[in-house]
Amino acid sequence: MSADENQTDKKPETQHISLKASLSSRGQPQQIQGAGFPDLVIKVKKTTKLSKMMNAYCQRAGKSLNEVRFMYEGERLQPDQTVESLDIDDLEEDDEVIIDVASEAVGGSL
Amino acid sequence: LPPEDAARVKAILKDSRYETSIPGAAAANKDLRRLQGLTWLNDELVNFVGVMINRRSDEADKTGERGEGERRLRKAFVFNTNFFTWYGDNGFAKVKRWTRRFDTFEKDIIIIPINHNNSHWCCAAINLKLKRFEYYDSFGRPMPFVYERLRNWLTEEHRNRKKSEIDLSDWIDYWYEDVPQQQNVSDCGVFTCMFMESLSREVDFFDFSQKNMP
Repeated sequence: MSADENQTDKKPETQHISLKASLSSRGQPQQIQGAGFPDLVIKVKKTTKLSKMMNAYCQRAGKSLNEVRFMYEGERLQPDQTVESLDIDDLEEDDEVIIDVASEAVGGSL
Repeated sequence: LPPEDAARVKAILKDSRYETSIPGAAAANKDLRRLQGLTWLNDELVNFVGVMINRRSDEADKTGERGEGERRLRKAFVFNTNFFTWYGDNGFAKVKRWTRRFDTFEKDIIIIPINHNNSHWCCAAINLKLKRFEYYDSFGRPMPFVYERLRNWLTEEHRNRKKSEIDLSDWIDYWYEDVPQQQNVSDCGVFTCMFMESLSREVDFFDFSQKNMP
């Protein structure tokens, strides 16, 4: 990385990121066409706790927090994590990060 | 259970605000209450077991202490319960980075808990040592599409990570005739957790049955 690039790297302290919470599987019967699980884009600071996005999503979807799972690249997200803690390479201002949404799943027999 | 443990379990089940978590998994009172009676298990519980197995396996990698005999710990990785469906619905790109923290082909076994149609839990595995695609179901029969999907994923994973084609012609689809069966219509989640636990060790048969289930 050149000295010039280092300079510009200093600037964006208030970097904003769009989180797109989106249902990842439409296969389950109660999720046909994502019923009750709309996509939601929310713009947040990198240092904002993910609970903000989670609560906003649940409000939009009319669900309670314990009915919905949020994941990034296969790992379950906790409310007190931030975008920064996700260790995403090359994040730039206004990038959109896809957050995978899943509903509770249960099973007992066929 | 010893009485003091039983008392603690009772207290936890009564405390509606109880929550427990380990990095990567959490379970609250309403999830744990599902462990009582014939209630169906949910994804939080199955994933909690998965994360515990992963942490134990990582720890064994560090210390080199794996135990002996059929209790010996394999180098195992358990995917979360969404893996199978999301890969099937969305293709390889969706799950491409899920294995970024380790080398899939250095593991002994990849364990894949599966939820079918939000009504049934069962467990598949890719046994890299024995070159087998395995499928364990406490209530069913071998399903061709499960083996096929595992095969496809491993092919794509190899292409992505190793930049070459893997030859799977001598890999077999494995079904175990005497796989423990549930005697009711609610316990497949517990059986699935037991399959996961057994598969994370060098167990070559399952020594549990409905009789062991509370």
